[in-house]
Amino acid sequence: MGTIVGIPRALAYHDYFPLWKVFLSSLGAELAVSPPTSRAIVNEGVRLAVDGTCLPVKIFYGHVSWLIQAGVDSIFLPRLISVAPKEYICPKFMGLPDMTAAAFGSQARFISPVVNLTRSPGLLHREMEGVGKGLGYSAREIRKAWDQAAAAQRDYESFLQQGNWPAEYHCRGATEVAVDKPPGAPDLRIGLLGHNYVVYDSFASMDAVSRLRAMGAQVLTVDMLSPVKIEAQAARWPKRMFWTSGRRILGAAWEYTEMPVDGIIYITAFGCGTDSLTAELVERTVRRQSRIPQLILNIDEHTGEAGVVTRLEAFVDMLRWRRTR
Amino acid sequence: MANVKEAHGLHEFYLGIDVGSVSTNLVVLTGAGEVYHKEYLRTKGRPIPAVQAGLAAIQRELPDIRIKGVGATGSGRRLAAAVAGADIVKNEITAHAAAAVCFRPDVQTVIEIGGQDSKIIILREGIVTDFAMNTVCAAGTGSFLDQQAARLGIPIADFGEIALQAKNPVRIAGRCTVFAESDMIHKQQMGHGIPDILAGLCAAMVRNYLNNVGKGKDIRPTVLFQGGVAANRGMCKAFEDELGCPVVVPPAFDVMGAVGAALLARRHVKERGQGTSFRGFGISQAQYTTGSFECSLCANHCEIVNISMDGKPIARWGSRCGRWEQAEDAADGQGGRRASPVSAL
Repeated sequence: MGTIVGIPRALAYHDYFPLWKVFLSSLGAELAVSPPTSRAIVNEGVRLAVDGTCLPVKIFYGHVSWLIQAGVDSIFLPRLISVAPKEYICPKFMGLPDMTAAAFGSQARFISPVVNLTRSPGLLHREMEGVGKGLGYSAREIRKAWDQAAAAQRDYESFLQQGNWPAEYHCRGATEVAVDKPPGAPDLRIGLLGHNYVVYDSFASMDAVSRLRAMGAQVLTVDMLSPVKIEAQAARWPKRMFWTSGRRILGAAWEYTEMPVDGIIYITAFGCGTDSLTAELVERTVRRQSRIPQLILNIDEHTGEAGVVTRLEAFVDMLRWRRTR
Repeated sequence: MANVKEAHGLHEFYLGIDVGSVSTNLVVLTGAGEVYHKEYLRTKGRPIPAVQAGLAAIQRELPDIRIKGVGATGSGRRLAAAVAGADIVKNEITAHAAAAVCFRPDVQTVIEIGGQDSKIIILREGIVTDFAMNTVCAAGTGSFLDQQAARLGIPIADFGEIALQAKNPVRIAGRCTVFAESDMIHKQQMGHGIPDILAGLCAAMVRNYLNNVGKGKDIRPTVLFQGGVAANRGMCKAFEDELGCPVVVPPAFDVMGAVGAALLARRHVKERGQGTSFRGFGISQAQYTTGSFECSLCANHCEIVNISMDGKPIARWGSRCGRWEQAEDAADGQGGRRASPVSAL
């Protein structure tokens, strides 16, 4: 077909990339993914985005701009409202196609299927059919592509559950592994919390993960835990947490306290609306359930890494110091 | 004399360097862990000359001293370590905690307020169990007190004593220094006395500290108050009033970070059983040059900093990929085998 579909390496990409990639490419679309977040992309995003948004949304703008400058025909930008019954995604995702269209106007065509599974999971299929038909494919081809895509997504999720990182998935089979291995056997286990688009974006999180690993810690993510356990733990909360990501973070926090881990680090982006509540709930839950030290790491568009480094180092020192007792 | 020195563990000394945003502190510690000499200098935006001036002052005072180990801390710790040749580089939290535990083994809370940051460290049985640092806002740190003292024409050294004379402290909004300042001006124009305004400012800063940095922390005595702001007796009293317990200010309160760095250096050197990496006091005469450039090899455009001593590169950092740091090792002709103190973090 010769059409190039751009995918910004930001926000929901970090959760659903295998699904999108396999679906679009098995339909024959050529894909272009923006490169990992860099200073140039952040600067561009900060310049273009509305001032009041969080850092991850600004980064998203930067990726879209990169794709447009690279000359893609269209950009895949689903309108995510809900990915599970009775759950919602952060409201900024809901408005993302509109915000992006307002900023970039007619510079690109946006493919924005609506993902709203609050009431009926069947709606997703209809939307995906719309995407496929828009690209000129038959219902049968679309169904086949979707089945393959869903299988790839399941495969990806189970790969992460085995204790792996997305970077390792993307370069499976390649000779070079992007994630650096820590020197020697780790002597600390740290449970990481936070939205995937913060945790997995090494620029946004100021390389917190590599830094911790270099300090000799094994780092766990929410994706490495069993979804069944996470759900069971999240259900212990008296009021239903209806943000999908917040729910997973809360469940994971509870699970970390029972594993247990040596320390818990919550990486949150300055200005994140859902985290303003989730982080507070997590902090209280962990404090009530355990004596596990926790650190909330606030990130913003600062390039000064000293603050992050000092906090991480002091936290790791503290964990080791406690153990000498 | 030599025997007296031996008897007191004085034949070995450890140097602690704390390069902060406002002050650069150097401490000479005896082998027994006592402060033998201290230097408190203003950083004035030029950390390397500050470290050099501190070393020169120590050499003048104590010409025969032999340094067995050097520790660096503070936001400029990497720079200090590169310049002086440190055996260990540690973050400020660990350094302050180490010094506090050494001074008062029963310490459970450390309040530290410096020039541009503030922190709280919670300890139990000599172990750090929790800590926090101020986040985006520098409200309630030493710089603001400095600025307000200057505005009122009061030497910062007299600030605390004047605040203690307050009879009826005024209420000042402490959430943000911009609001605090306009509140103070308002109170002053209403006719309130300076002591009452200063005491009100201290109380506002303490509330701000406890609500932000100290939020959710289990503050228990013994409470130590460290950092330059601890010199302000008005602040000590405001903390005591708010916490309802005595607040202890250690004699070396203003250089506790450097004390901690020296203590950690002592432990590190003893454990490792090797000589020090200290470059010697002669470096106070050396020519240090720093330069920076923007690397254009990828889209990150990292700012790379180069430090040279007498024309020879001694350290380089700033790249996310580590490429330039490796170049530094290559320049030393040691192919990266040298264990940089920075990696011992």
